[in-house]
Amino acid sequence: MKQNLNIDQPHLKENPYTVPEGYFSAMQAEVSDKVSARVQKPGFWVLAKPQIALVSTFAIIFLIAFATIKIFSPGDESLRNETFATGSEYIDGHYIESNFVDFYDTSSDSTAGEEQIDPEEIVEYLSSSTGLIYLASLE
Amino acid sequence: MSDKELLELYREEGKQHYAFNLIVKAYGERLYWHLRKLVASHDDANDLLQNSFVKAWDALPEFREESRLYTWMYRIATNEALTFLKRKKARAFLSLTDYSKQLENKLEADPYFNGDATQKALHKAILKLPEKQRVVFNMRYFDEMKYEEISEVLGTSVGALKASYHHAFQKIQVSLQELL
Repeated sequence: MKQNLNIDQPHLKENPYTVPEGYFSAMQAEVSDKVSARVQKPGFWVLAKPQIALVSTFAIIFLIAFATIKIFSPGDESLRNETFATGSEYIDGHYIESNFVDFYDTSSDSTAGEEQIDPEEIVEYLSSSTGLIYLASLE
Repeated sequence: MSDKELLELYREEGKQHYAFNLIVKAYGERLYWHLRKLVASHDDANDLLQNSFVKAWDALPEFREESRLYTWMYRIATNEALTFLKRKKARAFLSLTDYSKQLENKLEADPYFNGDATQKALHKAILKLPEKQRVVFNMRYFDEMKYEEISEVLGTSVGALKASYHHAFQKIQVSLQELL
């Protein structure tokens, strides 16, 4: 007749296996010998850590330098607006005589208003400078 | 000595071997019994244990303490045992023999088995289980590990482990009725 066994009995959970006498100490010595003969390779992180730290340091320095240049650069739009505002305050307050726009007035640099040289004056100048004509004829 | 202290000692210059010997001393016996219940034979369990420790030694520099040292060692040993059992099973399949029957025969002839008839029947029934179910059953039943801990070792969800244990339990009950 088949019997119904309850496997939750405590004695069934006991370990029925055994080992030869002194096995665990012998095993520890054997593992120690095996391991001593092996060269342990340094791990990926051990190798990568200093290099990652170096790259991070450079990246941080670069970012700080970039941010500094960006903030103090005169080409910055926000700063230029600020300068305009400050300038207009001075102009409106009549602290300075000239208008800010005057600094950018290029009409005074133009040659349009200058007197044109007469071509006859050029010919006259060249004919008087024989040395230059001689040099030109050599080519 | 705690896992943390062992690892700190291991990371000290020139103390690697000493620290590793302490790790072997701390976990050797527990891991041996875990392996022995999976493969039945003392010689196979011994080979697997030594291979597991050698692998642990090689991989220890990479150990980043994302899991506990004990769980990590257990995982290495379990993977070693599962690979071994799969290889043996494949060889047995090619030679048209039943590997679980071979394991039962090993248990029957094992001079290092001191259990009574009921214990022998229980261990034979366990050896009939599929490998992963056997691992889950042993960890839960004998080692009384929490499902969360087993999940950490095997990388399987708690729900799947509960189902696996339940199936294993049912199969063992049926096997025991046949064996006794």
